[in-house]
Amino acid sequence: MIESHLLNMLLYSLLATVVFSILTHEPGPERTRYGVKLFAIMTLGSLVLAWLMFPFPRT
Amino acid sequence: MAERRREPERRGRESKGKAAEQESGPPRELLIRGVGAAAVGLLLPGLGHAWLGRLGRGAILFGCIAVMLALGLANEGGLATPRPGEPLTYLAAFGNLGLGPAYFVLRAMGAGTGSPDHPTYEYGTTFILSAGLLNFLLVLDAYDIAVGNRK
Repeated sequence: MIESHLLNMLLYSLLATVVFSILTHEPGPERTRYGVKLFAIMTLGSLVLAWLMFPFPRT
Repeated sequence: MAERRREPERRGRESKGKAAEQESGPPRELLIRGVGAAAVGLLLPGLGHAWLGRLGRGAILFGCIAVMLALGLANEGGLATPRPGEPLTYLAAFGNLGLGPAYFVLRAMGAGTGSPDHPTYEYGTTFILSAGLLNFLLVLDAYDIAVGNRK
C-alpha cells in the first residue's frame, strides 16, 4: 500500500506514459522525447491543477 | 498526343482503384489475423503483440498493465460491479472487462473487493480501471499491426 499521494501520481504517470509512448511511436529518439514530454505534462499539470484548486474549500 | 491524353486517364483509374480498395477494408486473411490478434490480446495484456512477433513490445506492455493492476490491488482498490440504478458503475465494469479473464479470476478469488474506507481506495480503483482501459488500447493496436495499418 502506497500512502503517498505524490508517489501514486508519479507511478500512474510513468506507467501511462510508457504505454502511450509505445503505442503511438516507433522506437527511436522521437518516442523518448514524446515520453518525457507526456510524463512532464501529466505530473506538472497535476501539480498546477492541484494548486489552482487549493483556494476552494474542501467541504 | 493521343498517348499524353491517355496518361491522365490511366492515372485517374489507378487512383480510383486504390481508393476503392481502401474503402472496402483489409483483405479477408488480414482481417482474420487482426481479429485473432485482438482476441488473444484480450486474454492477456501484451499477448496479441507477442503473437504477432513483437515480443519486446508485448513484454513491456504486459509489464505495465500487470504492475498497474498489482498497484491497484495493493492500494485496496475495488473491481467495479454493475449496480442497478447507477449507470456509471456499468461503464466502470465495462472498463474492468478490459482485463480479460483476470477480471473473472480475481472476482472468483474474492480479490479486488476493495475497502472504501481505506485512504488509498480511490487510487487503487483508478489504477485497476486504467489497467483495463489501457488494455483495450493495446487490443486495438494489435489489430492495427496485424492488418497492416501500422508497423
